[in-house]
Amino acid sequence: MACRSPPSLIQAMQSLRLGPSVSCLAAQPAYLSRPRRQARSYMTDAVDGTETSEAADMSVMTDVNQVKAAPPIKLQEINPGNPNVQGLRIVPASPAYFSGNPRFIDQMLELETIQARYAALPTILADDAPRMAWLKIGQLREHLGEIIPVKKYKALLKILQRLNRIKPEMQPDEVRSTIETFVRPGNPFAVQHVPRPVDEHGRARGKGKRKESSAVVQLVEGEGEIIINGKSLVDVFHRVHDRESALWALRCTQRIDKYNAWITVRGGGLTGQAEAITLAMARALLLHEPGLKPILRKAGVVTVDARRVERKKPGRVKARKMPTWVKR
Amino acid sequence: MVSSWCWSCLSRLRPTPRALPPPSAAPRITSAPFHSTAIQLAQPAKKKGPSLTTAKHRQGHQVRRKNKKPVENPVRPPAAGERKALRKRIVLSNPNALEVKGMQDLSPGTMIDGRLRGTVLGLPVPLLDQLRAVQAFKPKQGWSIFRRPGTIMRHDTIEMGRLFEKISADGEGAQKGQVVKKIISGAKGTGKTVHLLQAMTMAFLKKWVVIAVPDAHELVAGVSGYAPIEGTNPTQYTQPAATSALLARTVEANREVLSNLQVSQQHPALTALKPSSTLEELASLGFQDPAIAWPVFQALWTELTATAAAPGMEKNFQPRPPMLVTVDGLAHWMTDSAYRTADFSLVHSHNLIFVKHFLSLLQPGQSPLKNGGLLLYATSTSNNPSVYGLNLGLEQLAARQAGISPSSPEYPQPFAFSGVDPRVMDLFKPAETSSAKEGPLEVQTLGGLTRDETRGYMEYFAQSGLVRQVIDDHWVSDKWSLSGGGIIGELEKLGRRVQNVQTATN
Amino acid sequence: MKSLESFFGIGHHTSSRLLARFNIHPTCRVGELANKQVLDLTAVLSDMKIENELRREVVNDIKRLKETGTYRGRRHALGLPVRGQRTRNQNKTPVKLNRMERRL
Repeated sequence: MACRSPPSLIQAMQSLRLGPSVSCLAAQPAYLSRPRRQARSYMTDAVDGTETSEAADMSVMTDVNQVKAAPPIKLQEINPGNPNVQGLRIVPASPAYFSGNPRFIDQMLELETIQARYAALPTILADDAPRMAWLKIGQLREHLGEIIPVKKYKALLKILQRLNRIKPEMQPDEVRSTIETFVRPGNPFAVQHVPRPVDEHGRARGKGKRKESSAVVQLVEGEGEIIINGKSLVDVFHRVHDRESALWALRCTQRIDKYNAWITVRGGGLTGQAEAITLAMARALLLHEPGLKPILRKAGVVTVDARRVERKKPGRVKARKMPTWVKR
Repeated sequence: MVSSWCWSCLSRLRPTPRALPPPSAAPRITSAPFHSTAIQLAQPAKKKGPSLTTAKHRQGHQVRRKNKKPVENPVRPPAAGERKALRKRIVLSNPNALEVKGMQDLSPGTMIDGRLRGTVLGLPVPLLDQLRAVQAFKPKQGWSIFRRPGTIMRHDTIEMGRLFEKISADGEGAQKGQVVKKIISGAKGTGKTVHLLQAMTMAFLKKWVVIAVPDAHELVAGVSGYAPIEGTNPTQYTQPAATSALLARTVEANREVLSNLQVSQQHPALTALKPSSTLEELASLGFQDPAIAWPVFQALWTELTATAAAPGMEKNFQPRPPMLVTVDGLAHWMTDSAYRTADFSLVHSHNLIFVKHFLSLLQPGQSPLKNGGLLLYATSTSNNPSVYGLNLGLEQLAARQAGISPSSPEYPQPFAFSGVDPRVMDLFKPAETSSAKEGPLEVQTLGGLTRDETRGYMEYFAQSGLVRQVIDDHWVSDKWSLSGGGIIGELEKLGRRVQNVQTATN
Repeated sequence: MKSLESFFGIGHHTSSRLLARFNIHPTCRVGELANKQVLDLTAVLSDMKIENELRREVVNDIKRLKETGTYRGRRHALGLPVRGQRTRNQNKTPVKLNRMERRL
């Protein structure tokens, strides 16, 4: 641990003012073993801290926004027992103190240490690891208050993902708690989609989208009556192909005479509406009979077709088409 | 059994000849086999004949160019009216379709037989000319895909058959000589026009007189001549051409009945009429001279509705048969027509006297058909001029049929400021007095077939060779759902479609 | 209706009103007309200013404009648009039609 002379007294003072993290002399415990929160004693925090804590008495005399130098450090008061005060130096808490983004580097070092410590633990495949919503780069920057390059962020993610791959039952608490500090609040991937079951009237509700259309299907057991927007199937879809594709989930499972469907569909054109109904119907049918999933999957009605019309761009005739090139 | 391996040289023996030679384009011989090469692997024989590459020394190599003649269009343009005739052509038989074994004909016995529900009955062959004469068949009804025209016996058909039976009962039944008035409503493809066709067939079987307006739109579309009647207010118009066409159709279709009936009333307007002539001669006066077509039609109508002869003419009077009056496309008669008055305003359809005559039959208290009969007026809920008054009138009719009295709050009333046509609303007014002879105006809504009827109909397709699948319950209910709940026009489309798929894969 | 419109000076507006006046339906052919209707139509047409008479009147009007020295008359004579249209491009029609002896 290198002890270098402080570049300026004011910075040193600000660092010292934080009280608990004041570190005098080289003889101090290894900072890495401290609690993480306390290790975050840096200049930016320090400046904020001084301003807020002293805001009350400063507002009496001067304006809050006015920059005011901190009072000089009285080393005698800090360390009254030591008569040899003049020979001591002030050392920052973190060795990364003088780098561009010290907090980030501290995090990285800590993670690397943990990774090295538990490198021998068995891992699982990346696909099997629990899906975690890591802090996005913007969120991490905000969290640390530093500007972190993308490359370094990716390096951090790499370590996190490696730690996440440790077999869940053997994962040490330390690893788990460290990882959790990098997960977005309310981990979105932890929320499992719970399908609504068939309600007390025997209705299953499924929603589906395709192109610009969205459909809601209410499926009950019955004799094969289909009503779409209050009209019969024939009135809505004149093409037989559209009718077939709308009912495809029921047809391919031979359930067409076992259910009645009451459908609302909005937006888009006829093809989009028919295929939105297909998807919604398949989802509703799965609530009634989850065992049909492999058949429906094979029939291609469970897969969401997420394609949409590509937007038109300025300078182009359509989404991609360029205007005709004209000489001159 | 000889092994296909030659064990001495470990090479394949000649394979058995295949049905198809291998594609000769790809070079097949990769190494020289020990055995003589299989015949199939031989290179294709070179083409004989001159080729450009084998030109000999100093031989003239001339490129021959054909003189291109100006392309004459070998297809002459169709003659006037030819394409329309092709469009309107009605083919009733397809010799390629299979004959359905054991198919029964529609007859006075079968048309009331409830056991035949869901089967397809053939139209009697002797009646086809009469049905063609009243234009009962329309193009695009799918007659041309079967061996012979046939219609399915659905619930409504059998009900109608029983109605015919009651009205023309030989004994003095309770409903003998009654007049039943119905408006047939329903979505596109639900079989309204075919229902009228079935009614006409039954009427011909029962020796009724059939007067049919096959296309109501033609009368108001402004495509035939019209003439004002002097001294009427508002001015009314006759349509001589349309009337004479109707007379011609009626005579053609009902020749047998009309030629047996003789004139029994005085017709001072018709000077050319002899007192002893038959009704056929009377009607033919009208289509020989369109100018007097309307008075002739009126005379014919009074003759047909006469219950007794005029004094002095009782000699040859025979009781008149009941009548069937059908109109297809009623909604077209509820708005302005395309005709113009002399001051260039549109003529309301009800001012056309031809239209007015048929509409007045609907109104209560007129007892229009004194010898009994059936009025069937069809209107579509899908592809029609949307007339608010008509829709409301039909709603009111349905409400009255359901037993809601016109004074109750649930009875449908016109919206304020809807500007509903009072002349249309007058048609659907409830009857003030009910008579035993005349039933109230009813609305009959045709829907889809039931599952059993659908099955019978699709089996008919299968027996005609159009559908080759095994017709089981699942297949039928699949088609039933796809056709929007057994809408027969859609079922017919599906039946054809299956055929196309089959021929494509075979 | 088409045959009425073949007269110079009778368009859709006039012909449809004429037909309504004599109760002739719009798809009627000339051969289907009754004698009386033909006579009526002839009588009305003979009273109207159509064909050469109308052409002469139009030409005379233009001539009058020119002789009184109006701007419109000048534009007619120059073969340029008369009613204030721009002449930067697309004025084929006036070049073709506008002249002293107006082509009709």
